[in-house]
Amino acid sequence: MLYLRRRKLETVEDLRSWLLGAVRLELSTIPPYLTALYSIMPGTNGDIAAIVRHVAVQEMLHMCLACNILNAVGGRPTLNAPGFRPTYPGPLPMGIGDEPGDPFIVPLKRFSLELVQHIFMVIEEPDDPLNFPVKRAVVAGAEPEYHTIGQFYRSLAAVIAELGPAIFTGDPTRQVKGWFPSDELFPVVDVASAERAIAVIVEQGEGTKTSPIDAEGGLAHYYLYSEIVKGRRLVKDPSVPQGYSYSGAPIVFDPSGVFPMIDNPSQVVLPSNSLVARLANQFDQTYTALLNALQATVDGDPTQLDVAIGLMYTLRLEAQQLMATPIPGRNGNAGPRWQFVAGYASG
Amino acid sequence: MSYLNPIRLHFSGQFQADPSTVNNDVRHFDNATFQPQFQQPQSGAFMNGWWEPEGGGAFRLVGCTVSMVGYADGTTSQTDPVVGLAVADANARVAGKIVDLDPQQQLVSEIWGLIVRLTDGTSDYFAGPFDVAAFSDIWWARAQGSGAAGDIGAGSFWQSVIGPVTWGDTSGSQFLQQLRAAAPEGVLSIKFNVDGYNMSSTAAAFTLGRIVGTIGPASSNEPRHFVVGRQLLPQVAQGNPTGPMNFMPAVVDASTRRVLADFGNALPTQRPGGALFNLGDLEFGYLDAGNAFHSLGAVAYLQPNWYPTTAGIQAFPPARALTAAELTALAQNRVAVVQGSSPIVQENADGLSLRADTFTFRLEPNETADVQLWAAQYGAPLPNAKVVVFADPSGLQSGGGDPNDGLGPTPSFATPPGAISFPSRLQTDAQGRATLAITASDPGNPRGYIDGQVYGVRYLLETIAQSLKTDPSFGYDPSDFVSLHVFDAYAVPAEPTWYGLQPIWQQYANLYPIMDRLLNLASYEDVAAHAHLLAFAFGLPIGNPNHMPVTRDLSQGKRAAILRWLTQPGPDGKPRLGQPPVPPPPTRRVAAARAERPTAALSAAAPDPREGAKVYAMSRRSALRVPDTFDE
Repeated sequence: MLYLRRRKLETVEDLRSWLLGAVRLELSTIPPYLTALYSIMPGTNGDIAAIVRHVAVQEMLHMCLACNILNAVGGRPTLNAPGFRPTYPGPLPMGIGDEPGDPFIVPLKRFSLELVQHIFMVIEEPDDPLNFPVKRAVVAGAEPEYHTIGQFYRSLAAVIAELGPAIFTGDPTRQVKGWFPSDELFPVVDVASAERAIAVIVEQGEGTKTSPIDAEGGLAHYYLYSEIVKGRRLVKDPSVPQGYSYSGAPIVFDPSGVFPMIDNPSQVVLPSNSLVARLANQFDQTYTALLNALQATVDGDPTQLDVAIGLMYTLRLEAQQLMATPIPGRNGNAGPRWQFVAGYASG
Repeated sequence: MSYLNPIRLHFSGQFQADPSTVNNDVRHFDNATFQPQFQQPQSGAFMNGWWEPEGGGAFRLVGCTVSMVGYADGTTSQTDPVVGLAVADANARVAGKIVDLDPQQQLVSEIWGLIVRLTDGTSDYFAGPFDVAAFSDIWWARAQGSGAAGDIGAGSFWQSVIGPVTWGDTSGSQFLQQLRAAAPEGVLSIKFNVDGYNMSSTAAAFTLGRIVGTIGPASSNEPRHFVVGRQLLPQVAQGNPTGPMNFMPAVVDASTRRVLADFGNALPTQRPGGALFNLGDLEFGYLDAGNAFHSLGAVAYLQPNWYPTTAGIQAFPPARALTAAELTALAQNRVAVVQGSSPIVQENADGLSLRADTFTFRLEPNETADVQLWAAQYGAPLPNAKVVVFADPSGLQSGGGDPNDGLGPTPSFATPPGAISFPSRLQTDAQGRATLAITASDPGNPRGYIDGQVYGVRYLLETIAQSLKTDPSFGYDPSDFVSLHVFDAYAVPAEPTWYGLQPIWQQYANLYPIMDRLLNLASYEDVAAHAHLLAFAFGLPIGNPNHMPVTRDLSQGKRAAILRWLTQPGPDGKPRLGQPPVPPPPTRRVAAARAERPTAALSAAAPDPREGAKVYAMSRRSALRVPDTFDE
């Protein structure tokens, strides 16, 4: 479970600041998930790839929803600004830790069951996971200066309700729409729609308090990743008190269907003037272009979301090409670094 | 106005072109005989999918920077604040695309969806879309020496316009202020030369080449893709220059009283992408009525870094303005470049030229291409000039590997001739312009497994056409003709089904293996699962860089059928599956299981397809045949 330090959350300025943190948190989870996804060779590990893709796509949705809320309350989501450069391995935004006060370091690694269990499931762990014995021995309730990500979002919802309709001063043309079902990605224009957006984020990420299923009937992220680790689908099971058990269809992991990507590609110096270095630079440029296109999207040009989608697919092809390319002199293939390219700013 | 203007910037760097090469061989379009190894890179004597089967079609500007600028007064500078800035492509959308017209016309590759920016990495000084353009004047012998055989030794150029551009803050540069003032329509002219293309799949520079170019102001009453001015021609044989220089343009600039000559795609290099080859003393000037040469100065091409710094553009005379007498002489005499005392490129007889602006077209049945022709004499518009037009397949190619490789014959091209119609005679108007209307009809699927047909149409000034009958080695540019891909008629089914459209999907799955990393285009389940995304990509305008198919070779009818199928699902909510055809589509085994081309079969004279599709295609063109008569 992840924790972040409680800070003042009273005014609309506080709210904007925290919402920007939420945008960046959602964005920061996407590179590690997509790295693991793209490391799965096409045509192999289909069930696992589908799960990781599903979660990654929902994180993109959550980022868009967080942007919509922030824009609605008169803030500006900045995705390509110089002050925000997540690096991997590195901490998540807002000083988030897996123990109170202890930063949680997220790496870029090829897909493995260990990665899912020790990183992805920690990122996605709900306040009060249902049906699981591996709850950490921490006493969140006894640490009032920290709260979980779920609590964080709920506190945002609470302050939005408290501040009321007057804070919805944003330009409605900056609301991002499209590509997702309209009951998942929708304009945020008032308290009710903001609360609905937060509910989608929390439920898709964590499930509800009583069920691993979100409002749309999908499994929450934590339980999806759990399925991979357990090797079984989580299905309804009246024979156990929790109502669900990992007794569904098997999910088999084939390690030979993963590119042998080195860990944390940004820490490896690639030979200068090599094809692999060029491919790595090209990926970073495409990633930067994607952030630039997303920035244009949330700055009021919704047509740029289509452009960003095109870049997403290019990014995937370029990642796969990198991961299929050995690094000369090393035992392993290259991988994406997800680095913002200075000097590649949007004009 | 064009890039060949006193107000101009030069840039140099690299370009990337990353086409898929499976479609280099037209026979790979045949689903019935397609084999998995056609998606593998060439290996030894086996052509397979040629040298880059996994290409994604990107065209990029890589590391290009401004080297020099020119001002309205004819001076140049390497200290203007613009020097050192990047000439870059898009930074907020995908790269542009490099697209062949057809496997049987691979020598007019177009750039689609490119954005060009002048930027310092934080702010753009101008940015705008590059108007679709095909390369021209490909010259396979540009690079000399060993290791230069094949496409790697070739050079070519693209010329187009950028715009309308968005201007940034131009106040800090005298050059940018002049450029902006000279381009009130917000449109800029760009021309770049490419050479030294790398096709070695393990090289750091794989799919990169050298690019050296120029940007200047454009005007809507000028062509977009060539310079109306003085066209200098070499002697040719079999469609290639026989001498040491290639085709090149020049203009007489009245404001600065100089000739601006563009040697950018006309001078040979010592090696692919290398320094210019020493041809000795080259002089630029004019040939008087008695054929005596009057020099206006030496070409400075042997100065260090001259080519990347100037993009091969030089003003003549170098250190002074033209005299009134010289201006008069230039208005009635042919310009030329001499090596020693021999002209190696020169204007046509009587300083005549005729050229089409856009020269590459995709046509649906009953659609008309309006080809804009511009005639000039000594650089001035030529009114009332008689133009003859004729079908000319000499610029097209058979589009296969070695004919003896076991894959069987390639389809006939440019047949049936009646599927295109056009007037055989035109006359230019008072501005020296004429519109050549070429109308297509249904070619009737003459090539079977590949849609439609390719055609070539050549236009010549009548006097030039006559002179070519006595001397076919001089007077025309082999690249200067119209290429057309005419689609087959196709009736869009009311309820398209997977089985009805499967051959189209299968062909794309075969030819573009990179797509297999995203989805299997030959699988109903995969395509149906991605219906929303595919409907988006197939529904994008053709100019969008994400448009599918990247090859832009899908007819409107077939596109409409695909979109209808993707967006109007059946009762189960999925795109309609339909019934498999009875009998199932035939598969044929080709004579050889692999596209084998034993090295021993190579003749010393013929290029090797392993060295690239462009040169190989060029080597298999037919000779120009000018008709004996033209209908009045």
